[in-house]
Amino acid sequence: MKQRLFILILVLALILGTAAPAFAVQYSPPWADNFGTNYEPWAAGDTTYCAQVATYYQDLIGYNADYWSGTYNRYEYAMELMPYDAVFSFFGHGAPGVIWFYDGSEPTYIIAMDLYGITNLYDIKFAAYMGCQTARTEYLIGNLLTVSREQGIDSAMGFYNSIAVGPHNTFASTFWYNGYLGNSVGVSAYYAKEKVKQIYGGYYGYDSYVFDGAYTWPKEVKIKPAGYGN
Amino acid sequence: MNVLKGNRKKFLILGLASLILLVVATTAIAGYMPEIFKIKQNRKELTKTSTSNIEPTEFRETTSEEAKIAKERVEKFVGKTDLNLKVEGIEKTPRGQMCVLTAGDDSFTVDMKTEEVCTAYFNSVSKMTSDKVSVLKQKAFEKAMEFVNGHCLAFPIKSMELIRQECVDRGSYKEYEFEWQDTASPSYVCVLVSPTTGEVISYSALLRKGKVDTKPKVSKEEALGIAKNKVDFKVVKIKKVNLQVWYDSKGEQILRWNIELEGEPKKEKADFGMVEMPQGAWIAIDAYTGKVLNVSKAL
Repeated sequence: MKQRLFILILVLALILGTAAPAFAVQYSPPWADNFGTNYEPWAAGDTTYCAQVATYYQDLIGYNADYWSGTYNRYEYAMELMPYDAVFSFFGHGAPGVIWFYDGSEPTYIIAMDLYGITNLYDIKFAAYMGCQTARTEYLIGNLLTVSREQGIDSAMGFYNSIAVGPHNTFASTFWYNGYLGNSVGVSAYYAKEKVKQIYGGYYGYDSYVFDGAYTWPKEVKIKPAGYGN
Repeated sequence: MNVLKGNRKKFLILGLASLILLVVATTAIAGYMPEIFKIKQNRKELTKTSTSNIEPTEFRETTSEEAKIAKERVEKFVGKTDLNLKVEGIEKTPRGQMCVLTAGDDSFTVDMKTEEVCTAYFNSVSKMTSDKVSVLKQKAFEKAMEFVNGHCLAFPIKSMELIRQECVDRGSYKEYEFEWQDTASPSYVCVLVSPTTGEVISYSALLRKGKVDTKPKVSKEEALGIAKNKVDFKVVKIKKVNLQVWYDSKGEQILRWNIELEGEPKKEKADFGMVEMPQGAWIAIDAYTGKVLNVSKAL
């Protein structure tokens, strides 16, 4: 009998020991982190404002929000912060299965497969990969949205087509403003693309947004009120 | 019995060792704090200062007269008076003042310049829309046409052209998208239809009178030549070329060529090989003078 008890303690201890790192830390207020930077001279565009405007509205909703540009715009920081985030957003250069960071000296990246290596992503309510073709699949490195769903992120957004540098501030402002008003991410994306059309006369790729996620209806996820995912 | 006793001892030692290991590991994990965490905890003030440049969406309360007009327009648009409309306020945009209203899950905007409904989003329909396609494109088009003919004063305008009709795959759901553009003015209409239910999900429009001559002095070929000279990548595809009456940066109407070019992907080195980065650009050219109005590269 005692032997069984010892075995039970041993097994429990081993299970708990293995599972300990997988326990998520949920902060109060929930964390939100936004990446956007000036890509010159490596590539075109400056998405710092997109990350700032996301931070601004997330703060108003009640998140502990930050933006990361310049020297902080590196993949390691994004990978470290994601497991603790309720909302994660990236606005910058993308490609099928890839998002590119730039700290002013060298480009770094996260590929879809990298997300498999991060535990605790299931606490993320909404992740936005706003860059060119981030909703597409690259056969060697995967699909950012699919991996996000498989890792338990409630809702993840990307773009199927390329998006232009010019209207990025308009899209980001309208998207996060609508989230602040209490609209779902699907409705927010709709109003953001329509605002781009109304101001610029065309959609410039911003009408190709795609949603995937672990939630039954990923487009129905709301970032307001502040909170972690399911 | 002795064997069992010996094993018991071993199990006890192993159990205790595992527990100690667990405590040590948990403490280490809890104590470990990546550099970025420390920065995040210390930079709240910095973030607040840095986001002081944000220009929030300009929103103001409506006057009772404006609210009355907006409500009437939406009720007429929907064809119901029991909508329980809530006037949220007026948003200032570069195209004028737009009154925002909500009715439950649905939302509307009224262009206060034309007093026309310019956006209607039926979230109740959107929520029922999945990736299931039960309605054929032709049927959806007929529904969209019926809707714009019944709701949009710009129809029928002979110069309004259908420039897009497709079933857009949004991953977890699909939408039929129909877009019309007026060739004589900046006016446009866009309607989304649910492939699941066949109902209209949304309607958006900008209705303005044309004020410029719609005959270009720069040909399509000339415009393409100018556009190709403005990009620093090898053009592999001309994705779009169209003539459009739109606005310049001062808000004056102009006639412009819209050109979208796709470039040869740029190869970037990664640990596992080469990553192909998409290249492309959207170029706007003044159709009277050939002046390049804007070049927007792909992100």
